[in-house]
Amino acid sequence: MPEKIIPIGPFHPLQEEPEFFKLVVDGERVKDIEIDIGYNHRGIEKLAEGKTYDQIAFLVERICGICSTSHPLAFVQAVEDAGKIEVPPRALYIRSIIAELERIHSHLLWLGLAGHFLGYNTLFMWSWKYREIVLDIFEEITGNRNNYAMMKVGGVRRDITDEGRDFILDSLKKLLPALDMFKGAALDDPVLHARLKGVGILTKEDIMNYNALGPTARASGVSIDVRKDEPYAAYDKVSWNIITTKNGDVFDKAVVRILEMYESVNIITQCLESLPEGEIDSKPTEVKPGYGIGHVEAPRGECFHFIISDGTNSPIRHKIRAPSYMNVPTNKKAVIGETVADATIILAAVDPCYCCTERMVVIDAKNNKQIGDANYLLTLSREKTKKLEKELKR
Amino acid sequence: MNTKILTKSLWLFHCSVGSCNNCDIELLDCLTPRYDVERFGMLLVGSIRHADVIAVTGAMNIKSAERMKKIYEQAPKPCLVVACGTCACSQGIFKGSYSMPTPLDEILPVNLYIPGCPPRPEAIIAGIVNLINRLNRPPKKKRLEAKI
Amino acid sequence: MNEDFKKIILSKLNEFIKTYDSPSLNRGYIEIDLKDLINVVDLLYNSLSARFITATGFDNSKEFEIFYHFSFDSSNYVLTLKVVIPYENPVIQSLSTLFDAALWIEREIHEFFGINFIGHPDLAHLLLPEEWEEGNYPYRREERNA
Repeated sequence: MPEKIIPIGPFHPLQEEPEFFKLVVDGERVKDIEIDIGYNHRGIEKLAEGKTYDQIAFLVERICGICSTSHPLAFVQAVEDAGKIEVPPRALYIRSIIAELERIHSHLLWLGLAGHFLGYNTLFMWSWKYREIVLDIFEEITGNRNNYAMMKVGGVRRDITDEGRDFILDSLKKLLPALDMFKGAALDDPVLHARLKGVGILTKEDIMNYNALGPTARASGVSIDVRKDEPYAAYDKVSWNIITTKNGDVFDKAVVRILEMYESVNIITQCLESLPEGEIDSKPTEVKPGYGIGHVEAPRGECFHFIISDGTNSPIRHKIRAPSYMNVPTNKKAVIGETVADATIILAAVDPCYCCTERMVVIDAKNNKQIGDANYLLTLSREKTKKLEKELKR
Repeated sequence: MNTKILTKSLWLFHCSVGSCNNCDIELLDCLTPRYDVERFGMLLVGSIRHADVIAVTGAMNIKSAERMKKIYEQAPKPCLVVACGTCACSQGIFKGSYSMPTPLDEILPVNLYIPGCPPRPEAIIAGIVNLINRLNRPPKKKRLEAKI
Repeated sequence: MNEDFKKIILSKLNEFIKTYDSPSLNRGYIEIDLKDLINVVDLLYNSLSARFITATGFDNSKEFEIFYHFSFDSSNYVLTLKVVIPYENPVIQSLSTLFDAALWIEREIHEFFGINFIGHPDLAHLLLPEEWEEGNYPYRREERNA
């Protein structure tokens, strides 16, 4: 049987962002995958060279809406590293709180989308419903649902008031039962077990080869987490655990993300309870010439910023490396050999963020026959779930 | 063009042409339990051939501009274009980048601008309601003069 | 622990180091010669099990510089290798022979700076469109492009 090509994208219902995958299939099996990116490239690194340090914090916030605190945090840490700038302790605690809230909202978002791809739309609606709790917290303490603009070189822009603290604690109390529900709904469901276990396995060697990061690596038993390895903000002042699992399949990636949300709630509560008094901004006035590196653990993995400063008020080079840049190429390993119906969820399992990666396609239909599109794939994926459901009911 | 037929239940096709994801998430958020626009028959569709409205988010880059034109050509007419978010309206913070030479409204006829970074779901819904109201209204040719 | 670890790395890399700078406890910057790159990276990646973070291309108006960032996660140390590439002959060995993680970033540096990587399987455009004008490298300094 001749090989056929299924194009996915660039504009498709699978993910909100544009990217293009070409799946080469032989019957039911995926033989090869081509990833084409570039549809979201905005040239942010070049734009950053023409802006001041204060402005870049806002620019890098708009690299990606979901990691809109990780990028500014990594950037301000890079500047602080280059300029040897001290940050007041209260600001460090607030940074941790915002970063962990963002992790909860990002993992909930992924969980919802994963449910959507599997045809488990209840999970999608639930997790997005409870995501609103986190967004309300953001609105209360930062003034905006997304793009919080909290990070600045030398500290944070806004303080958390006592009312704000109580509001966060109350809201987290409302969120915890919901997390328990997700844990039950996702991890005890026999259909999801049958659908996700043993699918899209990444071994430890694959992780090392692609240098994959974050939950993708931790699900394969590679225990890397910048929060522990190089504690920034207030992560060394609270107690928490790195979640790792062994199997490296899609199910384990979901487990890691769900359990991480509990750790995040734990970190936020501890930070709020021991929030020190004092200034929130050290008001730095100059950045010395030199190199600066800042890296933080974004929801998807390590987010890396490198700046070269020449002593003026803007960097002469600003390099951004988002976690998905390392994680997306692992799809090549994970998808090949799997069935077409499983391809959608595997492609989604690394929680790809193309906005980050570019800071992505079109099918070359000349000699390849087109046999379906993303909709077709999504339908396939959902049908498989339904089939399994029926079989399990019997 | 008879756009009156579009005033009942609008089906949306969502195109992200170089955005930061926030507008996309807020658009999706409109469908989820708190805002739930599906009540009004609005639906996010997976294929451009079923769409009445194209919601564009993000500042357009060279690579996606070509695709965007093709997508618009494939859409059944009449088809409305909504620029969702500051980037789609005016390129926002990304103006002047080497990869973004043309704003959206120089490529497609935009019917509605929803500013905001990102616009709140309420703002998106209010924008769409405005659009529907405008389609329902009989055309007033002398409105501008009357205001002056 | 960190200090000991630094000494081990420095003694292993001793013969290759041109300049060494450590502005803070967990950052190190080493300049090495262009021809030693593969040997040094092989040593770091395979013997010292460093994690490749990414590479940064830079045009300092006189020559190109590439910074290769490596992380030693358990020891909390980020090491950056700097190599200088002459503008007249922008060619460097590709790291993709050692690990696949270098594939994308080398394509990116190739299209942004026009630096060629020997041994890279496919230096096609990654982020810019296929029709992008030949010889227009957006991250080179402007006087170069003119």
